[in-house]
Amino acid sequence: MQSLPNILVVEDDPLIQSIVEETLADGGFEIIIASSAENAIELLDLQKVKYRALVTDINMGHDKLDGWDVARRAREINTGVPVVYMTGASSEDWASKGVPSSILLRKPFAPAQLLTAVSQLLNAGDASIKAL
Amino acid sequence: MVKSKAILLAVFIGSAGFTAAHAECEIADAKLEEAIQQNPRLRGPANSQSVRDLRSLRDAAFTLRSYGRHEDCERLLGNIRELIAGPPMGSLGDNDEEEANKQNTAREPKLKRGAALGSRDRKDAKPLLRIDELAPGLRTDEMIGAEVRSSDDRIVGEVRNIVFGTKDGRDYAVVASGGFFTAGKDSIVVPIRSLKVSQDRASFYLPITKEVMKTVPLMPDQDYTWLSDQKWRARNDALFPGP
Repeated sequence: MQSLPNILVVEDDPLIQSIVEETLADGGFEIIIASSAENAIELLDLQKVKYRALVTDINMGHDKLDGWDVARRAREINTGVPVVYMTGASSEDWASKGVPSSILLRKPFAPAQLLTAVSQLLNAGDASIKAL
Repeated sequence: MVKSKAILLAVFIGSAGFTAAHAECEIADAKLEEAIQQNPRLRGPANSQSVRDLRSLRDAAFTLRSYGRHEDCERLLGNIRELIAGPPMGSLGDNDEEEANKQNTAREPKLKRGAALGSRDRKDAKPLLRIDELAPGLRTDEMIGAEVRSSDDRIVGEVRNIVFGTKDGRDYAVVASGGFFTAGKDSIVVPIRSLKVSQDRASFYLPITKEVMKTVPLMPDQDYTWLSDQKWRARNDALFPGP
């Protein structure tokens, strides 16, 4: 039997991490958590799991890799993987650094917004696959 | 599996402080994403719309729960479970809009204002009146939405609109069909003067036979340009008897 659809969550703040985890788990997803961009890229590179979506914080400390890097790597491995960015900062870099067809959620946001964003991208992905 | 666990009520991710409350609505138990991933029926292209709909319902359940509406959330989850287990949308028809319109057109209305067969054959049934015999006169709010029946007392449709003030003084009731004679959601245009009405004003009657009814044309457009088409109106009106 196949496992639940996996979502990779990248977030360094434990509190936000747990809320995001709980929200997505309630939505019926299996969550794999990385607490840093480096950790996330390691998991992606292992390619042991086919992730259905990536939910990532953007800023995870100075002089470190960030959510933009994680999403780019995820798209290199799987061109169609849905990406949701979360940020408390300005979203002005999204246009230049964000991957196409991604969603950016500005903190604070309601858990339902996160679930809706993931649904929206999964639905769009299903539709584009069928349109091919 | 029903377990009680803390959820965040009115919480905003990324904001400081939150309130905890106990949830009874276990959305994950519906196993929607699992079903989408594993059920070949839901993965079929004919059901992409139903997958989108199911996710929307799941997200709505989540929103209800975040407002503390656990009972509503549970009800919605029940619906989601039924839809997952139920017949595929593909078997109910196509999700193509044109096809859906065709099906709607062919479908008789589920709700009828009155019974399919009326009570005109009852001994105590009072005679019908001509519109101009009514005193006081009819109000438009009495007409719009009223049922319209055929001469053999079967539902034809309901009055959806009324056209007054034509230059030639011919006023019309636009009757949405979908009843016994003209299956579908289209409308016919009935000269008001030809209608008869029950004494309680609840029902209007078309004093024409079933055979003639079948020849009545459908209203050609929703923009009422037919009002300027004298030939069409003359042909249509000739099918209905005068007062």
